[in-house]
Amino acid sequence: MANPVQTQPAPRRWSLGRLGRVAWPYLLLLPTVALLFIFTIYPLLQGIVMSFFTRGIVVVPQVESTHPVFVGLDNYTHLLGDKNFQVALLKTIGFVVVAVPLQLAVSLALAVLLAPQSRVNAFVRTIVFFPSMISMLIVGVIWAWLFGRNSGLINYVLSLFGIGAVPWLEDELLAQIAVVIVWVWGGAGFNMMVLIAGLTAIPSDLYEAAAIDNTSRWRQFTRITVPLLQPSIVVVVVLGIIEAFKVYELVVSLTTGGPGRATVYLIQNIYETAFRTVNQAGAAAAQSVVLFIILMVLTILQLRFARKRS
Amino acid sequence: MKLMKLGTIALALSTAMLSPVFASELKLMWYVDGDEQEAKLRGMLDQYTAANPDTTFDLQIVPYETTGTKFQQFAASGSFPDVSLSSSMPPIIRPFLVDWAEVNGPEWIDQFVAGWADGAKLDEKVIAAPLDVTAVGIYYNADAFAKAGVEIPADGWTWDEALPKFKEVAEKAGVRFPLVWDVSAHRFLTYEFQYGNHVFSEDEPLTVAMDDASWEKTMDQFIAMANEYMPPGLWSGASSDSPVDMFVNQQAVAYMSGSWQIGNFGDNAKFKWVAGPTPKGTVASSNVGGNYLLAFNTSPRLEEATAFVNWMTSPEIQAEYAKTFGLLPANKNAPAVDYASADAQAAVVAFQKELETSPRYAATDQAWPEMQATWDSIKAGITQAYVGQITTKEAVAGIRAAAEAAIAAGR
Repeated sequence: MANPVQTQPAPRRWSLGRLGRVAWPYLLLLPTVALLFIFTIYPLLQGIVMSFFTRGIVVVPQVESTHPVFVGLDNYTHLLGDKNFQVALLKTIGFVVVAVPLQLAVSLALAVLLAPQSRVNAFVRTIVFFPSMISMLIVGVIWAWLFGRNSGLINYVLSLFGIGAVPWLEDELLAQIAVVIVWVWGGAGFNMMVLIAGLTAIPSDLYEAAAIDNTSRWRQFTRITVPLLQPSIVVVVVLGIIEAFKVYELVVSLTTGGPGRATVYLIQNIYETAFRTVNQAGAAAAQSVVLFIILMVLTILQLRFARKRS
Repeated sequence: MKLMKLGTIALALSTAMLSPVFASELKLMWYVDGDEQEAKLRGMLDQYTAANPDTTFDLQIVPYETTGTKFQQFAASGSFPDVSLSSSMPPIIRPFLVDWAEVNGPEWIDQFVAGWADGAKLDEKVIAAPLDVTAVGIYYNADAFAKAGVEIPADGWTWDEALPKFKEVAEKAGVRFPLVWDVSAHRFLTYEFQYGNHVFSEDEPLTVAMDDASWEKTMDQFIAMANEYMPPGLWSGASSDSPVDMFVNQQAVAYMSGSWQIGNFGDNAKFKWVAGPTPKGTVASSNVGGNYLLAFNTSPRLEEATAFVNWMTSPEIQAEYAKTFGLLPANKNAPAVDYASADAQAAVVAFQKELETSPRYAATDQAWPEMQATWDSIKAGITQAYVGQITTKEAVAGIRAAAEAAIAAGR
């Protein structure tokens, strides 16, 4: 009986077909990576580089004053004495501290109230979600009309009850409160939908077991709903903080940063530095880098905290 | 199949025959106040095309506020429209502007209103063509004055004389506010002009010419006037109240704005209104402003672009343009304009007179390109001082610092 011929497996070669199979996923990723690089990574790197120069927002070869001049860390050290930047940064932090938890609380309350499936709830959910579909610029314009001191709808309604005109946008404190209220109003609907999605994923038998044990509704909320909703809450908080730090269009159309500069937050200050002052693009870039670092640190901390809790 | 081919060929031929193959399409960047003005502008462009069939237009309407950003984008890309409307020539676009002294000769600019023409000059060059001139001044609700039995003095009055009268008219005629004022650095600056204050020197070498103490005093006066006679909070910088709407809706006795409102009031005011005389401070002053046409040397259709600008700024067309838009012609040789209504005619005459009697700095201050980097500090200063965030001393110091920085950056 002849021995069957033992064939050694041939060494794997990088055939064209195999190369294609390995490269295919990377090729599919390429457009996304390219877009990410062109529209996010490259501008970020350019912004960081720009922060070490004084230069115009546009460099025109024929206009010498726009040419970049390397100044090292001068733009950053200058920020230590820049009162407008410091005030804008503190106001922005104050806005984030007040507005984000308030928006979370409102969104959570709406989500819990409107999560049960019914026709009425579906209708109300649509109404509440509606502002999220409007640009914040338009939201600001609408509320500026409503809040108008001498010709606004709210003060007109108040006047019917004998209440005098309230300076919603002309008083420093009220204007800041107005910005918070409108920002919460504009974003609560979207967050509500995220939280409702999280709520529907919580197994209903947990609530049934708690009900058998005579657990109060509040205790069910704090011991079941909130802990199991944490991944959605983290998303809402992280997105909320990022959005709140970037608040700009709403303020421009609602108060234009006033009264005086009472509602000038960081992004508006960066815009004014870059586009409304002469050859200060480097200083504006330095402010942007500071904002980037703050957002990055906060996001990393929150994600780590959330991971630890889970 | 054959039929399809024939159809395609016929379509291509007819398209080619209908298209103005040899026409130059000029790209225009313009800003207007509403659809009505855009329609009027398109009418004038059609008129030009009718006389010059080889030139057509691609009109891009942009908001006035975005022109600065647009110029930055154009300068960054090196790609400009052929012609643009603008109220200033920022340093980044100056290398790209057509020199009209070279195209039309150095004397060409002398046919335009002096102060506004000065703003078009850059050393030996003329970098813009003056299109129209605007004046800052006051409008009165004449019906309210008549109802209150108060006369508007034909030979003018001071703010001290006028303000109590505004209040009297408001009370007697049942008008809500004695005075409204455009919340703008440009309109506030007019009040400083009326007390002898201005930002820049009138001549080269360019310096900051502010008398800080006088500026502060005038700013204090203005804030007191705003608090007593204007709608509460109007000058906070956050108010959504619209002064022009308040005046048109008869909620204000007097309205401090400018000549560009003449057409608007002619169309929309349902009461008798008059322009001027604007109350004065220690001097009578308006604030000379307006628009220029800019042609860019990057244009592949430079000949057509300069021909169009020359047409727009010629005396006859200037008169027609001014009549169409209710503006003051920039060309001194423009024939007398017959405006649509007697009110509009009277308003134009009143504002023209106020421009003529204004001090020279009322024209030169805004004509300096450095002013473009100073406006924001004026607005921020007055609104912050109004709400008490800073003192008027700090506000004036901020304006001075911005003006000095602008001079340093512009040199």
